[in-house]
Amino acid sequence: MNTKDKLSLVPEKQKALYIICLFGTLTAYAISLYMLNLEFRGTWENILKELSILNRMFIRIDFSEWKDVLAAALESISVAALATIISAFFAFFVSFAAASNVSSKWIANICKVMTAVIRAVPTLVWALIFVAYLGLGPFPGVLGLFFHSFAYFVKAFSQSIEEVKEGNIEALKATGASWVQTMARGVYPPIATAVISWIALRFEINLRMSSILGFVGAGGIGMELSDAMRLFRFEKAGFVVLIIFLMCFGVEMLFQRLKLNVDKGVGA
Amino acid sequence: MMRSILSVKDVKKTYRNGTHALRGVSFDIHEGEFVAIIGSSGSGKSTLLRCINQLVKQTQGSVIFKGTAVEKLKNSEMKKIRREIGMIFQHYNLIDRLTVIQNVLHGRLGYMNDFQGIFDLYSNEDRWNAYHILERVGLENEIYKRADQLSGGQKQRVGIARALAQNPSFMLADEPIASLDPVTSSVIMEYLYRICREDKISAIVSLHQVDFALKYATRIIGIKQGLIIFDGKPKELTDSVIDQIYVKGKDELAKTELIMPEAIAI
Amino acid sequence: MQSEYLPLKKEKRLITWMGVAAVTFTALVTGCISEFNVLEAFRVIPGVLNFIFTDFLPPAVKSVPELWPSLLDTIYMAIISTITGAVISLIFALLCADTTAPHPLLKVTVRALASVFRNIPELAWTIILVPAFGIGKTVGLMALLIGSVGSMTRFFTESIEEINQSGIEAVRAVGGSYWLVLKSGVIPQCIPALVAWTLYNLELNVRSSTVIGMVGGGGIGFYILFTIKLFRYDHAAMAILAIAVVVILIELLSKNIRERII
Repeated sequence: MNTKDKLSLVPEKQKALYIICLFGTLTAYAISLYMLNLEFRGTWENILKELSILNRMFIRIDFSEWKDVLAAALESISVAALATIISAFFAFFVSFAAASNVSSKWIANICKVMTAVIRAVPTLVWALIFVAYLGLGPFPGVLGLFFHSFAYFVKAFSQSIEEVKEGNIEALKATGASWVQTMARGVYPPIATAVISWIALRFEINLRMSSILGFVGAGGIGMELSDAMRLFRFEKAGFVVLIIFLMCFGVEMLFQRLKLNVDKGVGA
Repeated sequence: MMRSILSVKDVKKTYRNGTHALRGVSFDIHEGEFVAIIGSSGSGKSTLLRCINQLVKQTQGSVIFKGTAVEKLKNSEMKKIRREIGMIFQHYNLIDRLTVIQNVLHGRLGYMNDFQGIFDLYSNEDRWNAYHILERVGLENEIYKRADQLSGGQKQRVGIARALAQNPSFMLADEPIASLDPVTSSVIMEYLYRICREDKISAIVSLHQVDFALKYATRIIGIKQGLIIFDGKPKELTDSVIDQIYVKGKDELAKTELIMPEAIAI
Repeated sequence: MQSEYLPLKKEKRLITWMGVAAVTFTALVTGCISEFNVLEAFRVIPGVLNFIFTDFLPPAVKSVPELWPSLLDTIYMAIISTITGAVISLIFALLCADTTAPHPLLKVTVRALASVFRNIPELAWTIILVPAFGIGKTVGLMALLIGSVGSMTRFFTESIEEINQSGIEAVRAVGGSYWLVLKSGVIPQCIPALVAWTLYNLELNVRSSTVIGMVGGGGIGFYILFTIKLFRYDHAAMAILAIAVVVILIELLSKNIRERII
């Protein structure tokens, strides 16, 4: 090795990978920026207008219709909670079919594909479909949220199931236990804590979702916000936004306190 | 003449990736035997054991347990056979989050229906029997400890207890001491041998420690690359046979680790 | 054989059953509040599936040219907001993380700001910004950016706080300044996590940007909304299908890259 050559600190292959990624990212960014053709709206006039709106919303905030707003908030929380509970319940059983280590390859793959398709449609679009079919109100909201949550849980739970040690399953099978018994005594105990973290994580997401379901008519606090803004009643809107923030923030804090360890690198 | 409890007839197993794990293995096991199967890693020991209780299905050949050819059975019937065969594993295979006694009681699942199994509805009699089994392996004070809080030797004793809870007539032990230090290994082998003799359980124990095999086994089967190359009494196992079992060709040496350096010819 | 009952573990069974009861109770209460009717639900789900299969399918392939520009806009918005957001979040995270925060007051302020950004849904931000900035892609982009910065700051902060501190100590021991510690110690160790979170955020943003148009944020959301309201379900179906394809592609891309980096 010639000591005049620069000795690389990182293996060549990894360096190349990083450079490609960086380059790819910058290219994607540049193309997107160019193609998007943004009109520059950041003029002072607009910013001042926004500040005045924010002022009306939060400084001159209007609490007067708090009863309606809080009722709507309760409705949103209920929608999120109910959708989370029932989707988790059903998904739990289906996830055993979707896990390749405890179910046949065929069935597992079919489940995975079906749930991937359901998940690829955004929650709000699902809600919109249900509203189109059922009309306005929180009920279609629950169903729309349920679909997407269900698919998410199937993926999440089956991922946890696939991480269970093969030895556990072997040992129970060897005692003469049936498939159901093996699942209940050998697979469920190791995944129990993961299941709870998934549910907590999804509930946070669902709460945010359910706050905006109202924008497409599915009830809850989103409708209050949507109505208020449309009527230019910024003072009331500010209060609604505050309530939404407190709801989501509260749940976030609560779960952090309970130290519900969330798995990293989640893709859903 | 002792009855044959297990008959392995010309069993062959080729895995989907092309590995020929077993190339035609035959032997009979009679009641009361404590058989050690010795061989280096990759010789087919694990596959052979798993063909016996059908955790792995053989490609050819027949395994006859108490007169029934097990490869021909449906899953529900296989359940009944499996509960008579206790199995212990190299890595213990306990359910970490559950307590010692819960793990032991899993041995009763083969005798219970699904509903009872799901909700832990073991009978009181089963529970106390499990407790007494744990007394036999010296763990009666640890019954509420979580499985992952135990030492290796303790875990294997729980594994033995779980197998005993099945009230088995046959025991399969897949490298039960491979992950343990020499002193603990002795302890475990003592327990295993003593319990099998007291309860009249026939056993197949796969080992790569020849000295333990010589000490405890009533019969030794040597297996190499999927074929049996020795089947006889311990005193018939000469050094040259041991060398044959463990010394590999040059290319195989590169692939697998040497387990018995003393056995290699000078 | 003793006749007293031998329990299987020390914890009381009672707690588990109380948990189950609490969940059931919550389900019942929330069911009432949200006007959930179980029987209706069982009738509705096949009804909706029928609705989808008859009215939405087959999707109107001929509408692809008219929705294509907004679809592309959606993707561009997601990309720009994620990348810009990542850069800003990294700076914020360095200010917020317990291990790298230069000033406690700054740390608290930035954390609070990120929390506000994060806990107000992006669609809500859009509605707040539209009266001043008008409808369109700019507003959508701003809303997505705010949301991205909010969530990525939190994730990045956690990643920074979780790295092995001994490596940092080593750099300090050799006499490194704050910036050197950052460059040689902190950043290299968290790159895989940062990349993973950025990709995750991209997936989220693609989904968000597809619906942000429904409230005036540009992109394909508006197209979906008005085609459904005008009962042109097959057109909507084409757009939804297009979104689904994009989302799945991004997911596969993200999974691929993550597997290579980690």
